Amino acid sequence: MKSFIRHNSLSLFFLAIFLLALAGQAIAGHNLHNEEAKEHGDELISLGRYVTSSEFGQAVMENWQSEYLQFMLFMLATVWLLQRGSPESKELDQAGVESKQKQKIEGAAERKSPLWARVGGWRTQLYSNSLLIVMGLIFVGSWFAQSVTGWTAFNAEQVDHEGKTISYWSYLGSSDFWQATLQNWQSEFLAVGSFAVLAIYLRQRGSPESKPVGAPHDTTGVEG
Amino acid sequence: MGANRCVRRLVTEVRRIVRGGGYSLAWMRAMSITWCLILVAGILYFSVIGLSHQ
Repeated sequence: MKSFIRHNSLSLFFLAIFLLALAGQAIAGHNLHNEEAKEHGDELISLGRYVTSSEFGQAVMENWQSEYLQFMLFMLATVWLLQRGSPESKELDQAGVESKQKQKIEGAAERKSPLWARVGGWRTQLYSNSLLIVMGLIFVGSWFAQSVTGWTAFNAEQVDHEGKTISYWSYLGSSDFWQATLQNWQSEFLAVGSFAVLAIYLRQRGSPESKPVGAPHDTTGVEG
Repeated sequence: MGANRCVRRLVTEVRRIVRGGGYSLAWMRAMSITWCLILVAGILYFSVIGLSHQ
């Protein structure tokens, strides 16, 4: 048990703080919803009702989709794009999908390589991009969930204010949908871009996300 | 029938990927499956909520 916790401490830590933050978001969101409902003389709702509302769903999903878009784009961009001096970049002569030898696939696979890395053909092709594909599916799935919850929340507000409800396709072109989407995207792109650049000059001792403390500033693609 | 066979094949292949190549640590598999379930459940849950309240 002790070794299980130690060997999986990274994912267990993030699982725990994810669940705590989600619970905190639900409680804070519920309080805010009821404060606003009181101000408008509307009916108050229970926490259980709030966590099954489109309002809560939209708030959760718009953040999920942007995080997965960020990771997916970063993974894809770092195959070809470089940043001199950054530990997040590959070495300057390594841009591209790299050779079979370097990627240890097909004939260059090792005894313990995953089967789909060894077999070649479409299975190796698919497995070679499997992380990107799955991250992409999660991004598309959570963006879709954001769009339907946002659409429902938008129409509920329209009904409250005796406005006109709109179709799903009209909602996809609405300012409400794109404001919610782009406010998340811009912050993700800023964080990734600045992290790649700040890591040229700054260090975190012991972290694989940083260069070793004593590594020169122009050393590229070296992790501590 | 064809769809059933397709799903069975897919499950077998995913199992092969997860178990294959000497990656036999059960807890490592359990953690990966837990994260996948959270993601799939979250996306499905909120999609259904959005659609059903419309």
